[in-house]
Amino acid sequence: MLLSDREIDDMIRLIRLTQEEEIDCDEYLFKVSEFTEKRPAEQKMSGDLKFVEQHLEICRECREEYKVLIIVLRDMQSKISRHHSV
Amino acid sequence: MIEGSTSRSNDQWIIDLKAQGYQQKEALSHLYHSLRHGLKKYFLSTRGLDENLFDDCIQEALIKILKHLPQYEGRSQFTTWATSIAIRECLNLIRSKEWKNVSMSALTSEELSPYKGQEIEPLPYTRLRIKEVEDIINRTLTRRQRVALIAELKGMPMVEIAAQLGSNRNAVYKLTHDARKRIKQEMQKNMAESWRFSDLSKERVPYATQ
Repeated sequence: MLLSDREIDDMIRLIRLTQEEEIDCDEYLFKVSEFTEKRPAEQKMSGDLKFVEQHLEICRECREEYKVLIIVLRDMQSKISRHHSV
Repeated sequence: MIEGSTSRSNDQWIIDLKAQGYQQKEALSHLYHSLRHGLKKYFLSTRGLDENLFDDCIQEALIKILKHLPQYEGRSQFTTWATSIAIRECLNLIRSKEWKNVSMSALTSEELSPYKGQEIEPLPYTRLRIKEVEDIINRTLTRRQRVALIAELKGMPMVEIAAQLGSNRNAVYKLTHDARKRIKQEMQKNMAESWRFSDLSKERVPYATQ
């Protein structure tokens, strides 16, 4: 047996989420900044950003990169806020 | 978003980076220091990346940013766009280092065999379904598709799968996307009567309805 319970669950989840058309990791990379900046304001994504959202569900590595981007941007925001309050 | 970036508009970044000579050199230096400043806390402190390697990643990111400038459409802050590219560069290095001694062929050498529960013996309904999925994988996927899909499920990063397949991350994504589509199509074709994808949505517990 090659796959563990968890890996099988992951595979089934991925198959369920699979779409006929998906963007790849580079297409995602060049759109994720727009996605990140618009996401808080627009609950429902439209157009190309829907594909970004779907890619994030599928791709573990892009999801990790997105989380780091959020951490880094929040960190910078808080530095800017602290700078302005001094 | 990054410190120092407020002195340049998005358009100005593009103009300066596309320019030649001192104008471009100055913009690259500004971007280098901005990215370094923005990312150092996470990558040096939180992730413990070696500082020299971190600097190499930022330099590599600058090359990629210049190469891909035409893909920047001005729909976000330029610095956010550049930061996302630099983050990928750093994480790819970390992933490669973590997985460099793991052989993909060792991870995926066996043929998938019928499911055997590891912690909790699954009920027959579940075991049957998983056996069907495994049969589809063995029957319909190419060796490359199967190996890439399984390696990915085992947690191997795409950058490492690509390195071991002599390929690139996008090609690996396409390979596994084609594999997933193939499995899904086969399920829908062969099991239309008995298999509903809604049954799969919550892991493997649809027994009560059987």
